Amino acid sequence: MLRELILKEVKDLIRDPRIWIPFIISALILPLVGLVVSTGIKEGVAEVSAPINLLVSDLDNGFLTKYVLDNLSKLKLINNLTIAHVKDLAHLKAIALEGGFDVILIINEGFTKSLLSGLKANITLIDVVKTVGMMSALKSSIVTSLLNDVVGDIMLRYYGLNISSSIIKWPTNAIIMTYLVPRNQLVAGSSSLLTQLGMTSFIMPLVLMIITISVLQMAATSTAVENEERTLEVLLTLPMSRFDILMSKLLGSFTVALVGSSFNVFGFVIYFYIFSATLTTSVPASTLDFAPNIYLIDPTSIMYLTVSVVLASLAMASLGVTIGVLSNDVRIASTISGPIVMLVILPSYYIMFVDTLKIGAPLRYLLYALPFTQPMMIAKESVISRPDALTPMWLAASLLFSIMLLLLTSKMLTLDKLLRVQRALSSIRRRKETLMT
Amino acid sequence: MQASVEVKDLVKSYGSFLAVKGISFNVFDGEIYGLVGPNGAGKTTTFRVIATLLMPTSGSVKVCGYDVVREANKVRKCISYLPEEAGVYRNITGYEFLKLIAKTYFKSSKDAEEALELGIKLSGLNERLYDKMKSYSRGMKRRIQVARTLMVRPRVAILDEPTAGLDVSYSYSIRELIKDFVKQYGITVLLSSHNMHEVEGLCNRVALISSGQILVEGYVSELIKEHGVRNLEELFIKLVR
Repeated sequence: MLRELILKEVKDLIRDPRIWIPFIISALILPLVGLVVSTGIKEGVAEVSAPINLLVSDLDNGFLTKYVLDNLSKLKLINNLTIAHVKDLAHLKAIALEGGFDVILIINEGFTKSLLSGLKANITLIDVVKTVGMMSALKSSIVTSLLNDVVGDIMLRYYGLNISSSIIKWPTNAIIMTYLVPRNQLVAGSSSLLTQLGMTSFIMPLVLMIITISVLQMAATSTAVENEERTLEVLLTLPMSRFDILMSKLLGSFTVALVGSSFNVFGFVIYFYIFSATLTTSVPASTLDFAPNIYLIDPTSIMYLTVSVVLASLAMASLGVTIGVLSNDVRIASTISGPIVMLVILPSYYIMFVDTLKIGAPLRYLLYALPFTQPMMIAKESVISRPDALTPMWLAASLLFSIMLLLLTSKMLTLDKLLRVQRALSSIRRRKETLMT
Repeated sequence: MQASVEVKDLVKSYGSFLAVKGISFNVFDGEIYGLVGPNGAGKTTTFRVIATLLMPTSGSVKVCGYDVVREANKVRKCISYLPEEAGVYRNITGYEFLKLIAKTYFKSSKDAEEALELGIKLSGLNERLYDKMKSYSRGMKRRIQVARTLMVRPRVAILDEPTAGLDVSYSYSIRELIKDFVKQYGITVLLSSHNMHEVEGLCNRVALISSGQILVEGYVSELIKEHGVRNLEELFIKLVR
């Protein structure tokens, strides 16, 4: 009996273009967004790595300046080095515009004298920015760096030292690593890199929101439609339990939503996996219990995370069914769904900013047990540590939450109670609409 | 004769509004019983209580000997209910809908198959049965709902305004369908209508209900004779005025 109702639910949903068109659109849009962003980044990188057209105003005219500019012009990164002895800035700007120069370098008077006296020399750099892009103002930094290297090398040679200036500036080759105490593990890169990884937690609530909103809304509207289209009355007189009716709604809409959002879930998991794989390292074994090439987030954690996201979707579907039962039309269901999703996602932002390992036991366990906060806890703790040892139990608790919610809702599934609640909700909506007009 | 439906002192209120004010009636096995009255008379509320959708405020209702409050699950197994404005699933075909109902009522696949065949016949929708129900006209939707209600051969069929909003031709075909079905399978039918002529042609006994109270109850022919009127409509007008 239940199987037939679930089948009906799946068919009714999957044949509705309003259900599957958004899935197709988002499936098409996501790669497109990726393409647009990556194209932008590629163009930015290409722009910044292209040889520079440099306009130099040599106001010093000393022997050292000539030597520096001669060396600078031989570098691959400099495409065209044009020297002008122009002091007037307006004139310089006009030349730069006409010649298509990227950077203007003004070597001030006293450049040679300052360097020979052991003092820092003054220069001025102007980035010629035609459009504002991601990396449009980086070229003056490149010129500064090149100039410092060239001048540094010349000065060392002038003082009789035949070494590269970079050895003076960076005399050590540092390999920076981070020791993760909770995991007793070494990771390549400074802890700031790890902070960046922690920042990925920012996207977790967003991903959860994308997945769960669609599940919740689908379950809510498909149940509310039963009220709106007046099919619920027949359904409630069929020889089956209220719980079975709701369970068929839950499983039907969850199945369709899961198929639709599976791309999001797997895309996210793959993203997480790739991200962690880039941070692997191998160093000689030390006193630490270190295994080379360990993925920062291990496969078990990723499996927990996947199950947890699926269970969060189930909980959302369960919540959607409850909302749908209480709504006598689709409009009310949509009105209620919005704020409820926000409320459900809200605790994830708390987890994002707090040190989860320092949260007191009762709150920590609650956040692990609730299906809406559990994926966030697992994602965050997988980075720095390992998910809680009792995670399998918390996953079961999440499943139990959905079933309990459905059981509670089935107790409300009598026309008497529904009519009462729906009348109350409708009057709230009417009052809201009156206030707005 | 044994009563399939026993309603005793039924009261149903929505907050302070009394929709049904202590009505009593019995529907006997194999008869077509009509609850007749204008809109808002309390017909639908009474039917919803009998169909286990609403709880009575007071009084008792038994269907097939089972109490609608304490033994609601058993009641649901012996009834089939057609609400006044029963909708359809937009993206499900008529055939799939009937199949779902057959499988919901019958565990044995042979029984389900038989019920489905009956449903297909009762619907009379032929090849349109395989179209999504969103493409059905109002009359076709009603036909599939009537077929759905009767195909499971319930002990008691509760039909709330079975021909409401339908044109003459569809109304006629549905009335004939009900009449023939009862003759063939001997089920009990409890129906409501505000169309007095329809009730006169279909029902053995009727109860005239207005403002939540039964005004008169009995065999149609006897009531007409007793009150010296030409038909039920005249009787109703006479009683209400």
